[in-house]
Amino acid sequence: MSVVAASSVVHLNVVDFQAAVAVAADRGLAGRPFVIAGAASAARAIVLGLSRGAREAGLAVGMSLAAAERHVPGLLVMPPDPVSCARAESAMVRIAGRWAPLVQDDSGGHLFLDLAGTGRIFGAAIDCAVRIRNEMVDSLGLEPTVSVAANMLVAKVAARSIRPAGVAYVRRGDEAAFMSPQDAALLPGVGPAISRVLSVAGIQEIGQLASLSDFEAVALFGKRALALRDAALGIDPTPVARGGLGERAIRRRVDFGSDEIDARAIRAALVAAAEDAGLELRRSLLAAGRLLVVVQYADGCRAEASERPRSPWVLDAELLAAADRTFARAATRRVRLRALALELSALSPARREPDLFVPEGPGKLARLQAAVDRSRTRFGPAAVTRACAIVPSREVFRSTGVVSHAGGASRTGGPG
Amino acid sequence: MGTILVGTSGYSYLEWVGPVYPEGTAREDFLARYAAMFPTVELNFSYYRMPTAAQLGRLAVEAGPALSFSVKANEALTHRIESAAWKDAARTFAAALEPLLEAGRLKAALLQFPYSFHYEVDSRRYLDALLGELGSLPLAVEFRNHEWYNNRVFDALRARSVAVASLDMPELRGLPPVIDVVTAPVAYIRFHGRNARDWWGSDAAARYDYLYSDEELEAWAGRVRGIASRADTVLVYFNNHRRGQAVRNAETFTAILARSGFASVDAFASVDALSTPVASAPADPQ
Repeated sequence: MSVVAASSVVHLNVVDFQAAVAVAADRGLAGRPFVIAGAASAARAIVLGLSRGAREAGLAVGMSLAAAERHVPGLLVMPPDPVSCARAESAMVRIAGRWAPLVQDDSGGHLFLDLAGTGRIFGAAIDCAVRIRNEMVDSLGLEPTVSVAANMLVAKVAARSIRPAGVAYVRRGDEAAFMSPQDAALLPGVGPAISRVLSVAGIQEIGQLASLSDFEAVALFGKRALALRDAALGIDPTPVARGGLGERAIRRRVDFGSDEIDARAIRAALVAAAEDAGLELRRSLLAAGRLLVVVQYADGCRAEASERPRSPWVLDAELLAAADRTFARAATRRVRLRALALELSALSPARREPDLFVPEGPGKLARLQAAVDRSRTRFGPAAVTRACAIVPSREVFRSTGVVSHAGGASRTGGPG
Repeated sequence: MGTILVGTSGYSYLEWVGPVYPEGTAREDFLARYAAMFPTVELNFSYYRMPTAAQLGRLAVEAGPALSFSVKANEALTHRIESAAWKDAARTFAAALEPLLEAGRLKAALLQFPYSFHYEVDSRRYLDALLGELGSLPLAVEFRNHEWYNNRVFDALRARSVAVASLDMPELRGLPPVIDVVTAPVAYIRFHGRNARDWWGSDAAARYDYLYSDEELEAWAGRVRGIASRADTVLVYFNNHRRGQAVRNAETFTAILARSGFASVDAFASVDALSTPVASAPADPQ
């Protein structure tokens, strides 16, 4: 046990940011259960934010407003106030910027600061972080949780372990020890798919995940498992980036050893770049609103193409499909490639905790097929079918080809 | 904003005669002298020797009406737990605290668990049962093993209205993380000193031999503010008792809090108080 260099990465996190901004503007809301949602009359409005009281009443972001109102009769519904939220966020960044040379604004009341090198001026990182918090309380009425660690990932887990408020400081070198007894659900990158695998494997704590051997980890989660295990050990090489999400991008570049024209080798490089960028995207709990592919030809020419999604990309499957399409539009010449680069930008916070990766297992189509088969076995062959198979007649075709009658007009059969 | 009470861990140290108590102060007068300086004290002798109701009742009288108490739980409940005997020990301990509790002068009972108390199933069951057994008391727990500092424990303590102590310790690997989390109406802070050199492998006297600088205490004022915004009462105890350093730091910290605008800081520590004779002080130095 030895004296250690101080941790310097600070995470400030205003829990339930939208609700906190609303309370800061109207103190009368403090302690009341309320939600932020679209117009109450909209039939399909969903809960976008909620107060602590609403959370304790069992409500959650993403649930339908109608269900929330059924659950909490007389629930107070506030409209979203993006202007006030943006103003509060800018003010938080401004305050943090007076103390920290590097401020990363992840939006939604999440800031990361790197205070390395400021100790002689401002004192220990934890003391400086508390001063920043208090200044935010005084001038904005917002109280963020404060966590300090050697890297962003551990700082994030520390903040999650103490929320809704408090201070946590993890000494450099104690990352794995601190992470070990925490709930696995607190680990960034543990979304619904990985949670299911953890549940099946009986893994509840981050330490259990960290103690998996290479073989066990890969057997459970597939080839990307080691990234998840590294995270469980508190390893995160990602530096604090400057600026807000709008100014940031995740970039990967592949330089071919010798100029390459083999389509398989080029695709392999593209896939590796997309998967790696996707991993960083999800580790940072972000989604991407733009994908850019740049190709550098052996003759010195350069070409690029980009694509924007209807809703931001999070998963590898989405990124890979977009990368393939974009690459096809960028690399139109039959000339060897010297390098290619991929960039994810227009970043935004992921709506829900994204999986670091989708654990390998039956493919999506296979799982879909299995679910359809289960429904058909239970409810009859006409229970589920493709929309294109719906015919105006009330007759349906069984896969055997025998005509029968069902409640709705549909047609069963093999995948269409 | 909750009320903040600042004091020291223990008051009955012979080496405090001179630096804290006037030369010649008799041991039986220590508490009255102490009560003239601080609004609260953490009793430590109860860890080594099971206290009795009569004993604590006497202390309450000796201290005068203003001093409030926190009492460290006996080692039979935290360090030397015997499965067949701990329930009786818990009942004895709770009964001993009755006079303080009834007089409204018991602020907390402190359960300080050693490093060897791991976050294991048996330990968790024991802690749950112990907290249940002592449920009539305001409770605070201090874990020296880092494994307990996790979200499930915080949630469980919150559900039972039991405080988790915030600790100030040296910057050494393997020590518990710094955590300020309010889980009960009472919040509990212990300053153990930052003597990294003597923390391991030394006796308690050397380990707690440390004098906080004003800058270190100034920084803590900001943290206390955050804690006080979520707790009704914040108890602050300095355990760096060697040569009376805890007293100096407690006084300084009280002054810092008052200067920082904590209207609710309940303290009357002053240099004057140290030199004011109390009625029962012996006339002649011994």
